[in-house]
Amino acid sequence: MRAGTAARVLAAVAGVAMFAVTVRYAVLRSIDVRPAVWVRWWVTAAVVHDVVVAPAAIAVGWLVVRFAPRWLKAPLQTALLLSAVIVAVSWPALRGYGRMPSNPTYLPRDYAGGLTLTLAVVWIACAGWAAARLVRRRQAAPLGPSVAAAPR
Amino acid sequence: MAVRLRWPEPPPAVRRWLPEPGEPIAPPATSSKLHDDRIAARLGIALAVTFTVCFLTGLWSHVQQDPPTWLAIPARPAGLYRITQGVHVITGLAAIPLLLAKLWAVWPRFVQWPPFRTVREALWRAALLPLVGGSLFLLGTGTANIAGWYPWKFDFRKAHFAASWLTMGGLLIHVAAVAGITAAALRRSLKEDDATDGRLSRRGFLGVVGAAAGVVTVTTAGATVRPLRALSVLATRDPGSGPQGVPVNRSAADAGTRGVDLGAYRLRVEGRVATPLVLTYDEVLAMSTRTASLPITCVEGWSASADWRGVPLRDLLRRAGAEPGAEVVLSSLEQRGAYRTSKVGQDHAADADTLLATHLDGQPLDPDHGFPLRLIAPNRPGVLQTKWVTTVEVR
Repeated sequence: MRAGTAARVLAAVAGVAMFAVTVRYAVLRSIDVRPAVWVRWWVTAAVVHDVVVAPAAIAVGWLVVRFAPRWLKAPLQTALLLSAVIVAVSWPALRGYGRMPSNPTYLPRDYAGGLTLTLAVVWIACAGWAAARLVRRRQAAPLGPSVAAAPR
Repeated sequence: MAVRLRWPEPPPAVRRWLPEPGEPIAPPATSSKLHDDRIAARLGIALAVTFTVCFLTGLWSHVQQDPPTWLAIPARPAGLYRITQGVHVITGLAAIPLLLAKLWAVWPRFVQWPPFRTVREALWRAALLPLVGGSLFLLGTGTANIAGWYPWKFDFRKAHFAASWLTMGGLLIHVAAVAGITAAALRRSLKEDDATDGRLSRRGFLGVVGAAAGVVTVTTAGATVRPLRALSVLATRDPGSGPQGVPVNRSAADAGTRGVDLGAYRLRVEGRVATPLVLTYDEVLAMSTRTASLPITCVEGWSASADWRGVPLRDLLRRAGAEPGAEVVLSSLEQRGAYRTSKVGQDHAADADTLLATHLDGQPLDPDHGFPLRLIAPNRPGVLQTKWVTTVEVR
């Protein structure tokens, strides 16, 4: 316990020391780092994420588990999570933000096509999974076909 | 530590939406069992590992470009920088789903009331702004950078470097604050109290987050992992594209070095040398050459191997009578640009494979690859493989 506490105090002190390194570097290289602009960017990133992005993701997840039928919930959660991540990562390429007419080796691929293909694989796989769950549910239904026909 | 702070009680209509600050995480009104310490702990460890890998590989890349006086960058192994920088970008991209999932899982703590009750909780929460803001900044600016997108008014490399210290500092403080909760959460089974009602289970959720990291890796890593090239449909660079099948970061058009007049072109070797040299392109071609198979590795994570032919830098230095162990600075025909000159350290200057190359895969260099002459050296970031070389200054 004592050793654990010492290690934690040491880690926290090292963390504060790294903040000091950050401040020193940002001040010494202020022409390049532009500390005021730099701080605004990461504070904005944290605030936008915590106030907009995370609540929106939680709201979408809530709608899925509240309204989707049982057999669809997990596959739909999976497809949405994967899609959100893939779109976020490929966004700059998809929009062609870094494209340079003088240098076609930046963003050389067809990103709309690549994204469509990737999302198609994800959604087809999840649709297959959902269909399998639905079939299993129907097979497992103890009563006649009239009841099993209404999966919920 | 025992000091307990008193907070005003919000109206009941508001209060019932705000989780308690206790441990484990109290779920919000959605009552999802995925907002859970056991998930947060596992994702937290994965993030601590990936961020540490990114930090160390990033530091390595940084010191190559801003070498401290006490550190001599080795020229060998030749492919080292290709591996470290590939790992840096691949790991950073794979960390994106891990970070988003972790922040999602612990989000109820963001709206808990009261925000903190003890000094330990106050420190923990205070370190979250640099940790969360810095993490999002690093992964966001890195993702934009590999696409060549710079929507900000700071220098990417230096701002990214500053944010890495900020984030790792926040991470250390965070680890100190949550080590106990994490250890306790890891001891509890993921399966316990996990009735899903058709939803993702905790293990299922972690599996999907891992799958997201896998999809991101497969669809992007082909920028440096050649066998994945066909699957990497979202990679921002393609190692097989470009003039002579090799990508370019700064084109001759952008550098203003298209259509070099070979009649006027001279390679100068000057500075602390016994006999300064002034060579025409033909005189350089007439020297004995060497072919080396070396990767060109960009700081943005792509890499491509090629066979380069040219004059070893050390042969030129010897011919000019430079002292062994001298430091060399190369200058480009390019008039402007942050990487117009580059320093070649002792180890690189002495390496047989450090070439002033004239040919790429048997053909004269394309203007975009630095015609008439470019530096190509083992274990070196692409931005320091100076193109359109015209001066070799010995210091």
